[in-house]
Amino acid sequence: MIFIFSTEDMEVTTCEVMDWLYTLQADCRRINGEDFFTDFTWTYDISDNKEHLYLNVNGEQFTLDNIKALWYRRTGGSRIKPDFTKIQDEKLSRKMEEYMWSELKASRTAFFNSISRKPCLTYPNANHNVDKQEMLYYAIQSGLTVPQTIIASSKAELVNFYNKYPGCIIKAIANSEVFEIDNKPYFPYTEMVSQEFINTLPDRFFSFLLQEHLTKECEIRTFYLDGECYSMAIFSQKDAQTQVDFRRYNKVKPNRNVPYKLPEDIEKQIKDFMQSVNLNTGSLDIIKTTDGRHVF
Amino acid sequence: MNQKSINKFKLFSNCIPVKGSRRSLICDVQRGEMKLIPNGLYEILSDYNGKTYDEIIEDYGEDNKPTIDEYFEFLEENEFIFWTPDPENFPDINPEWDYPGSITNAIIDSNENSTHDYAVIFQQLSDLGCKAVQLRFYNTCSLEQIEAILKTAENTRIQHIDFFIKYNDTLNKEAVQKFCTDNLIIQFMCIHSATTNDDKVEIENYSTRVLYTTEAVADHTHCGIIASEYFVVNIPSFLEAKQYNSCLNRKISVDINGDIRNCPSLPKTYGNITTTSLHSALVQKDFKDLWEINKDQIEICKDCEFRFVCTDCRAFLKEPNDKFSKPGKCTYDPYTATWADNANIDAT
Repeated sequence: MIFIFSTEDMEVTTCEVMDWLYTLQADCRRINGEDFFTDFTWTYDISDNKEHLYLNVNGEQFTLDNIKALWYRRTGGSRIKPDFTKIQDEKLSRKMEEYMWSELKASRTAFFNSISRKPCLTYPNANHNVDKQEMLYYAIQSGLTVPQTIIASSKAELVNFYNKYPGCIIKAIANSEVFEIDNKPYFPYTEMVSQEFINTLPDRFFSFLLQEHLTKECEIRTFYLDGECYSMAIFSQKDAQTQVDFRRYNKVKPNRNVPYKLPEDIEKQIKDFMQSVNLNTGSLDIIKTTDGRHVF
Repeated sequence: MNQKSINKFKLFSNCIPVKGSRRSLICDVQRGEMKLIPNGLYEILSDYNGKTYDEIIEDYGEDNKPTIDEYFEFLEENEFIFWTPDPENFPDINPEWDYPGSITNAIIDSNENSTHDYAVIFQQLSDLGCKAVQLRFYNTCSLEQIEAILKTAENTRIQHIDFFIKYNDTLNKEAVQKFCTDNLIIQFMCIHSATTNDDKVEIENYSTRVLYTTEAVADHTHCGIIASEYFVVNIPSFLEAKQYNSCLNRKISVDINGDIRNCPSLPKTYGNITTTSLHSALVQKDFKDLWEINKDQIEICKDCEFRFVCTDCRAFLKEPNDKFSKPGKCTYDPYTATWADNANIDAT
């Protein structure tokens, strides 16, 4: 049985893959992260010097031996709503809630540690939120070209970089994720640094990441799966709306997306890079510059 | 232009030129648009894709420069091409077409005498991987009856259900609007034999289309119509049409009597749904006979620039005894590039 871990909403990909699995007569079960602590039950047992994992998926019983592989597609939120209102003391109530979440997190980690003895597409307990700076470091170790980048927190450094690389961009240091408030999505987009923006800054401020601006021929998004690169070119530079960040999708006249074949040496570097960060699947963004470089 | 002198031009691989007898068509399968072009431009696009502007001018001569410049202006305006030093990094779209299931779409016909067990049919379709179903009622029925049918499609893999229903006054605009808003599985609803035509019934926020027509859809012969409004321009349908029959491939139908056919208008039956499963009909040796007849094999169509955006028909033919003859209800002549719209061909 192939065990799929995904989420409930906005997850067409899982359904499409399951359609193929079903057609190819592969046995699979899907659990959404939302159900992890509610509808789905499991027992981890390490008695008698042996590890056992028992799963109950919609009433069906499985053990670790029944599982051939895990596809860890996405995490998904939790449906658990802690209620510590009986505790009058607000500080204690908050601490109790923190404690509860850390227990749930640890139990989840135990579950995934155990299931990770099987082949996994994305190892669930691997650190997926590897810092951007660490990624750049591993990228240069693998021979990939990366843009000139600094992380700093003073205006002087920012101005210095800006003068050296006019038109440089400012972006999130963390893995920027979309969030939603009252059904309105917020995206931490990449922006170009302007003189007006610099003028508003104090001498010392919050940390930032600056990168040289690359003149794009096109952007490349490479889907990496188990040693193979599947690339597409995105022509975002022709449209002012998507020039700096193609995720500002133009839905009326979408950017041109076409298949792309990366040079062999870059595919090899990507493979080395993915292995060095312990990922067997993922998507990578690369810029092809007008002077012919592929920059990670 | 600077780009032109140093770089090579390349057609975006999702803008696919198709040559016709008199003229050609660029199918923009990404944006769902198409543009007619002269065959002279088709020739340049197929012979010089990935080459420089100068190479074209060199071969065509300075005299043709104004025409070629006009072509390039048109190509850039529509974003059909780009300029690059490395055209070899941009491969064609993978031409393979496949689908996770042995059936992609189904038609279920019924009239006042039909006694279909929809729960059984939907379950069997679901097992075959079918996601789109069209239900054609030559008779009239109530929204309660439709709702009961939709209930039986719950928890199956069916994702879209289209309806043709004969008008009665309970099927008024307000009632149908509400019904379609509540039942998002409905993607298209056509109320036929209506008192007035109305194609602007808005279903708020959703992509459902509702249409009232005074035309009567009285039986299966009301099908096989070829018209430019039915052209489809997207990647899966284009690739499927290049390889397979654009109407009959991976289709299965149940007619008003419960007889299983590839299409309700085709003569051959493969058993009745009351005694034969859709799966066992499908595996009969000649069920898929017409599936691989693509437009490149059909007389006249093979010279038509619209051949991969057009829906074929093998039930109503110009030459009923020739399975490779042109669809009987098509009025387009690719040799003159004209539609003879008044020529109504009767169904055979």
